Order: sequence, then structure tokens, then C-alpha cells
Amino acid sequence: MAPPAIIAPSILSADFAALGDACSRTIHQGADWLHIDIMDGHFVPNMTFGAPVVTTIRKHVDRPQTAGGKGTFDCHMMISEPKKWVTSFKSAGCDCYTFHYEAAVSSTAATRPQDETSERTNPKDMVRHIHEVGMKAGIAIKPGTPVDVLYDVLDSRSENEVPDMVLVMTVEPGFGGQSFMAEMMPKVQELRKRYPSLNIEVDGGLSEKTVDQAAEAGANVIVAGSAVFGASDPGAVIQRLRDAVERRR
Amino acid sequence: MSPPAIIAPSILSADFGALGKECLDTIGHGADWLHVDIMDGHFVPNITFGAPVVTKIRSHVDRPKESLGKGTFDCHMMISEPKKWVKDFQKAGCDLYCFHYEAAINSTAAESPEAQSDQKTSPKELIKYIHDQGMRAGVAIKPKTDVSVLYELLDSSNKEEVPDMALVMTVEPGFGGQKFMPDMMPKVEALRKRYPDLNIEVDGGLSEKTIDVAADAGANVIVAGSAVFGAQDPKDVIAKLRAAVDKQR
Repeated sequence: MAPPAIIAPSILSADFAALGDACSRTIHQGADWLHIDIMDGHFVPNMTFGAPVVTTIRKHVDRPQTAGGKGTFDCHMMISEPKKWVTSFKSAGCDCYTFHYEAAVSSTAATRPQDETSERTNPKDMVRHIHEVGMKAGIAIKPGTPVDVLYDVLDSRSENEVPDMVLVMTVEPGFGGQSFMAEMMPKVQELRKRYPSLNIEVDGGLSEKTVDQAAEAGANVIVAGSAVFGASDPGAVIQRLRDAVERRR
Repeated sequence: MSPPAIIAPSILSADFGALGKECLDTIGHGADWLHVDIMDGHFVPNITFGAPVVTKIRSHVDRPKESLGKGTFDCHMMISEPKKWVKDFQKAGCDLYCFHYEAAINSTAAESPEAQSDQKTSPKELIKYIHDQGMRAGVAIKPKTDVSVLYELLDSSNKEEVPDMALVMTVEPGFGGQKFMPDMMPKVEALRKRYPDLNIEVDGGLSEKTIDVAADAGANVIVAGSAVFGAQDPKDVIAKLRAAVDKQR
């Protein structure tokens, strides 16, 4: 049986003028995690927020009582130098640090924003570093990236190098409100088949209309932005997303 | 007589959980402009916000009725590719686009975040481009950059290439709450002497304790973060900063 449903609304669709309230409200409406889209304008053609904003909203949402529990901050790092920011995001209150595979294979091994080094990091090194700093590690792939690039890190014998979650993007990252790409479902199916207990997250265009396909394929962590924050009854939407996943476990 | 005092509180020190209210309140307390610190984690070792946040807070602050009037959004672009974001920020509601000289001299001529180009931009070209897009242009220099690099721009016979404001950083850019560097004042003096009518902005560690030194040197646009947003009586602080500049005119 796949792991339980985890509903993770994305604050990319929230009211940035009143983020504190938006975050605490969505948790009260039944959300498990908060999905926080960090974009630096380099890895993706948009800039959203950084650690200072995360620090502020952390004050509005109780820390999870168990690893991956309610109130988890799931930071989706769409940035080109993911290793540089691990420590500052841990300090800001991030619980799960999800970096992009495509960034990790070509970025610096420097561990702070002001540092430089000619050494490169890699997915295994990233996952290990995130764990050492004290967070869960997620690894994300863009639509154009095949799912098998992840097998090497997911099959690692060293527990510390194994990610706690995989994020399969179901849109091209960078903006909210895009259409769900159903052709990404085979990636989710493959992952669920190989890794029955893995947290598999989908992000992009998820709503009551598209969640069944994602749940059917085996996704259990559901990111929804406009579908939740734009809804007249966000609590009902969250419940329906949860039911769709639970029905198929 | 130098231009009038312009008080531009920096939202870097505001409550990011309630930015709409913070911005509206500070305008109500007597602020003229809002200084919006945009950091991309590449040009400076911090990431703050991007155009989506600016769009949101723009809806809480009335647009200026005349050029650079009350309600002006003064976007301080601490980003490594300043030309790429001009259009997005214009759409988001920026009135004054202030790029860093140090970024402009070796960044791309590409005009959108997803575009690529082999060509490089230059400060003159960037200023002309910002004007073409309908915004005012500011040029900022970091503490280690000599003020004379700005003379070529300020002396240009082509009005389109002349910046509307010079920003002299009085701290190393990247974080709020740092200490004012009085050794930057000779730069301000030199600018005021050469350009009596220029808007000269100072940013970093400005407060009631340090304002006199800056006003005396000839600065008229005052950015203050923690001194305003952290104050018991922000209205009073803003009034005192204004009085200090007006006294020296």
C-alpha cells in the first residue's frame, strides 16, 4: 500500500500581501504541509521569495510534531545553487528541502551563499548534506528529465544518501496556474512500482479535475496552488484531494 | 538648493507576513516612496522577493499622481541580470528601477528572463532601456565602487541615458540592520557638488542617529528599514528624517 495522502498547498497562489494569515488559515483548513516555491530568477524565469520570508511565515505555523507531520515546510528550491542555501533554509524553519536534479548535477559544492569553490556537488552529496544539516531531502525533476536519473540515488546503499521524497513536476516550473501534464504519469507509475513506500509528490495543475489521474498513478503528496487558494471552500477542496489519494492506496 | 527630502522606508524590515498592511501603514505615516529590496541570491548572498510580490503590494498603495510622487515604488535591484527583469517590474508596478552599476557592466542584453543573448548590456544602454519601458532609472554603487564611475552617465549629452537618481550604498548590500558607513559620505558630497539637482539616495543603517551626517553631505532620498519599521512611533521617525534633510537644503 502506498504511503498516506499528504496535501501540500502551494503558497505561490496565496495572497503575498497577507502571507501569515494565508498560511495559518490553510493549515486550519486541513492542509498537512505547506509547499513553498523558492525561485531565484536563474534556474527558472521568475523570482518569488527567500529565507527571510520563510522565517516570517514559520512563526504563523506550528512546527510539525513528528518528521513529515502537520505543519511541515516543504521548500521547493527552484534555484541554481541548491547547496549554498541548505543551512540558511534550515535556520529559517524548512523541514523538507527539495532541490532540482537538473541544478544539482552542475552546481557548486560551496555550503554558504557568500562562498566560492571550484568543486561541484551532485545529487548524492546534496542529499547527504541536507540530512547532515537536519532536514528531510526531496529531489525534483522537470518535465524534460527522464525518471531513471533518480534510480542511482534512490537505490543507494548508504541510507544518508537516499532522498525522503521525489517530486515529479507536472508543469514546467516557474509559474502558478498552468495546465496539468498527464503525460508525466508514467514517471509516477514507474516510481511507485519500484519504491512502494516512497513519498511521491506531484506539483503543477493539480485540482479536483486532475488529482484522480495522479492518485491512480501512485502519487501521494499533492501540491495544489490555485485549486486551494482560489477556492470558495478551500477546506472542501483539500478533503476531496485527500479522498482521491486515500481511495487508491 | 538640493532637491526636497524624500523618505523611502525599506520593506526589507517589514513584517513579510502582512506586507500589504505594512506598506499601506508606512505611507500613512508620512513616507513618500517605498524602497523595495529585490535580491536574487546571486548578486548578493540573500534572496528576498520578485515581481509577483511587488504586484501584490502595488494593489495596497496608490500609484503616484506625478512622476516620483507619493506612492512611488523604488525597486532596488540587487540582481545579477538587471536588463532581463525590466519589463516584468514595469508590469508589476515599479516606478523607479534602480540597478547596480557592478551588475550592469557585465550582464546580458537579453530582455526577458527566459531569453538568452551573447551581447552584453551597459549602464547607458540599460538606463535608456528603462526609460523606453516607461520607468525612471536609478544607478546604485556598492561601498567599494568609486563614485567617479557614475560621472560618464550623469554627464551624458543624451538625456535618455542620464539616470534620474544615484544610490550610494552605506552598507554592503544583502541584509537589513547593518551599521551605517560614514566613510561613504565623500561620495555623496562629490555628487551633490557636481549635480546640485540630482536625487541622491542613501541606503543602509540610516536612522535618527546617522541622518544628520547623510543630510549634511547632500543626500536627499533617505532609505530607512529597521529605524522606521522597528520604531514605536514610525510617524515621528519619518518626520525627523525629513526635518534633518530639509534643514540642510
